[in-house]
Amino acid sequence: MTKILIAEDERDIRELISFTLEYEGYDVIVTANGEDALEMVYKERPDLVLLDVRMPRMDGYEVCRRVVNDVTIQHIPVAFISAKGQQSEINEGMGAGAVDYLLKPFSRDQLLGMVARLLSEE
Amino acid sequence: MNNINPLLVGFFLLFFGVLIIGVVWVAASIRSTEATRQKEDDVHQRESHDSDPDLISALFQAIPLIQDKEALVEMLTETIADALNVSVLGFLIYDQIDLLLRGQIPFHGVQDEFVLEWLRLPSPPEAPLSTVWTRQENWVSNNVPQDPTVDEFGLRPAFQHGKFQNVLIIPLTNAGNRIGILLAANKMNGERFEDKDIELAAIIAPQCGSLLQASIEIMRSSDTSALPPGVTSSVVGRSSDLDVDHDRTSDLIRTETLLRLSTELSTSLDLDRVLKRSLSLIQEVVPADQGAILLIPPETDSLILRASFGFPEPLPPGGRPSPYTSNEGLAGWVIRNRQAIIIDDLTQDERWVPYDDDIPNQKSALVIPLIASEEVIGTIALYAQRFNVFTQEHLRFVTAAASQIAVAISNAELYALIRNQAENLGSLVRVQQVETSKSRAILNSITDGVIVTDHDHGILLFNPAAERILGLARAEVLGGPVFDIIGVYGTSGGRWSEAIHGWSDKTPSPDQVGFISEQIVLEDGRVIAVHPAPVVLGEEFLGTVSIVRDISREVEVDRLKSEFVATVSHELRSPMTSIKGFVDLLLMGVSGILNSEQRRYLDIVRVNTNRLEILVNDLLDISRIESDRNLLVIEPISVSTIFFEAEANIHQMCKEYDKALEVVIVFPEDIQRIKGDSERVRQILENLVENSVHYTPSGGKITLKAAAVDDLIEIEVSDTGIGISLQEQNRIFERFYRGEQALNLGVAGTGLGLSIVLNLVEMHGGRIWVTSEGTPGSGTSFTVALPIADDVPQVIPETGAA
Repeated sequence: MTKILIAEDERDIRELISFTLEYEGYDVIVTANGEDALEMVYKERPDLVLLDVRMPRMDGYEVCRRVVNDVTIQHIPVAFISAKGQQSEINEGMGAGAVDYLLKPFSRDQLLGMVARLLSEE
Repeated sequence: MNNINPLLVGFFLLFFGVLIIGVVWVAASIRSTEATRQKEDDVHQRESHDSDPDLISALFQAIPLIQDKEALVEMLTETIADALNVSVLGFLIYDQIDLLLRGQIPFHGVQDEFVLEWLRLPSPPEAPLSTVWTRQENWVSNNVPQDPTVDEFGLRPAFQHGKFQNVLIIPLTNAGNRIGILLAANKMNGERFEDKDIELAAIIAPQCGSLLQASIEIMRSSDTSALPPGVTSSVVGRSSDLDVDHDRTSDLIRTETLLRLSTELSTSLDLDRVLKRSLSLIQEVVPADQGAILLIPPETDSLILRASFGFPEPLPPGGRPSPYTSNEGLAGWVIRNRQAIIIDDLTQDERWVPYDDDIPNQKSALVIPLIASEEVIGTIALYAQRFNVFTQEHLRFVTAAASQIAVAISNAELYALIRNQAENLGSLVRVQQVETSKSRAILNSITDGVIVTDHDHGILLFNPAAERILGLARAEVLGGPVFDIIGVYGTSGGRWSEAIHGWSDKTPSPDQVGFISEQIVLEDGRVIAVHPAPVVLGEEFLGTVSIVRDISREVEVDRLKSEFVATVSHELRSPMTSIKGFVDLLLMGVSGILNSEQRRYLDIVRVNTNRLEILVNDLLDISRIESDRNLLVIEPISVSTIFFEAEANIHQMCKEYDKALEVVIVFPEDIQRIKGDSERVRQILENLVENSVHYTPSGGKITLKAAAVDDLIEIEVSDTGIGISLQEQNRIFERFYRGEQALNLGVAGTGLGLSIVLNLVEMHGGRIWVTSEGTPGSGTSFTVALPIADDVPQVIPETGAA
């Protein structure tokens, strides 16, 4: 089963994303901070990582950079789901090595469309 | 003629005094603007030669050293020859008895034998030099060997003898009488006579004329045979043994008197005092009981009694009007005839009109015209209470004095004119100084930096605020080229220097110059705004004024504003994500089947959440446009790429809104690329097609067209939608304006979309306009014109649609 890691510090949004994806049949694991997220990438080896940018302990950019820079896990695609919509912020996220950047608020179709595309590309 | 003749020396000194007065005024060099035309020309003419300080100083230095006539003449000819830079210079004096032009004075640069040749020249009025002689015109030839007029004048032998290449002849006059010529010449390889040489010679000539005439007078008066009966005179230069007699003594007295007169005239410019002193000096030599100087004032005929002696009433300063006009009485006769007269018996003379009953009985008179620059300016009248008082010798003496007095009068008038001009100028300067100090105070106290350059880009003005803002000392930059300053800021000052170069290359007309604003970032991080503007007077480019202002604070405030907007929009996005997401889930029925009312309410929540989302996006765009105005990334943009992206966008939206719309794309295959920021151009097109999708009912059509028109590419987005009424067409680009239809249809939006589009288009230097018949269903067409990138035709991708 396809395993997706969601790192999102805001409980409501975490629940929204995980519910939407579980409803579609994905195996979802969640965390609320960056440090835990990175740890879970190593431990759980998910098929896809969805990161919020602004999180406690370690921000999404940093998590992304660490994943991308470690050959043992760099094959796992990382995408951002963020409310930070300025071009500079999007650029920073993509620059950190993310494969996509979904801006909040997103529609169900946008979320599922992105997830399906990233998993199929892999 | 080898001995020193004190009388002659006296006259020479006297005349030199006058010459110097004239020259001194030349040096005054004050430009006159509103004066008698005659005087003004006079001033200008003299002024143009005040650049000849050598001549002036040479004359000044020479005078005290001159011991005899020949030395004086030698000095005179040498000085003038130097001034004109000629090798030959001399005076030829017309001898009325022989009708010959005679070389009275040794020529500078020519041997005596040559002068003798000149003595035999035929003389006017019959022949040569008639132009110079009768018409009193200057004559110049810069190529004597080939000049036919030289033959006409019969001067060929003389000129050939002298090997002259260039010859200048100037008439010599004294008190309006022609007395001879000044001849200056250069031999082979000498310099040509230029206009300035002729002008200088023409200025000197009248002074020389007076000088030479005086020497002639003196020589005549020293010749016994020429003197009136009863007057004996020393025979100067013939026998030094006979020098001591009483006439010799009276000669000395007269000489001394004239010397004193000369000194008086040259040291005082107060006309009243000059004339009064002149009369009393004359009175010392001439046995007159009364004397008067009558002047013709400008513009009237009534003579002014300007100075007098022997009359009961003293004169006020400036004199007082006399009862005579210049057409009556003895004075009138003298003025009309320009001739001095001696009346031995006034009672028998019909011309005599007694001045006043009160004054003593006058029996004889001596009346002399005052002539300056060939113009009679008044008379000197001397009266005696006995018959037969005045002699020819008196007449000659007073005539000599009169010519000095006349010059002194015109000099004093000139002086008064100059003084008036100077006073006018002085008051103008004072007014200007006040204005300047006001302007300076303003420039020193304003907080904006002001940099003024001249037409050569040299910095003329750099006020304290400019020093403070740019961190440069005025002393370091003043006078230097403005580009030295601009260059320090590298490319960020590019438009500043470009603008200044452009204006100096081609003077702009006032309506051509728009508002130019340039931002410069200093080393310390401060941001400076520069607003340069040209200074143009009529057609002439005078320089530039640049205003510099420290806008670091404004830039910081702007940054904080952008940051605030970004933060707010971020903070709004998170709660909107939850609302939107959970409403979607509820509408999906994941938490149970909804009844129709519940579904309708949730739909309302969904639509309004979408509106909020658009608002947040638009706010972010607006704040970004305002802060990123100068941050366009300009590159060539392919029309086909953005069109097919837009098409995909339309299809995506149709799916979302459950609409069926036909999309048509039309553009020539070889269309050029657009010059712009691809991100922004995409945004423009996206906004326009979104509008079309919103306002076009299902089954309608959206057309994207592109065509090159001149140096622009016009992109047209047209639809078959509801159209825009004519009244609304004027307002749709306003911020937050939403049309009636938009509200009726409940289309989500903020009214910022088209305002953002307009901003983006203008940032690219493009234009946007709308056409719609305004009737429902007629559709709408937006056209955006953007610059063309280059004329390399784009390559159309095989598969366009994404």
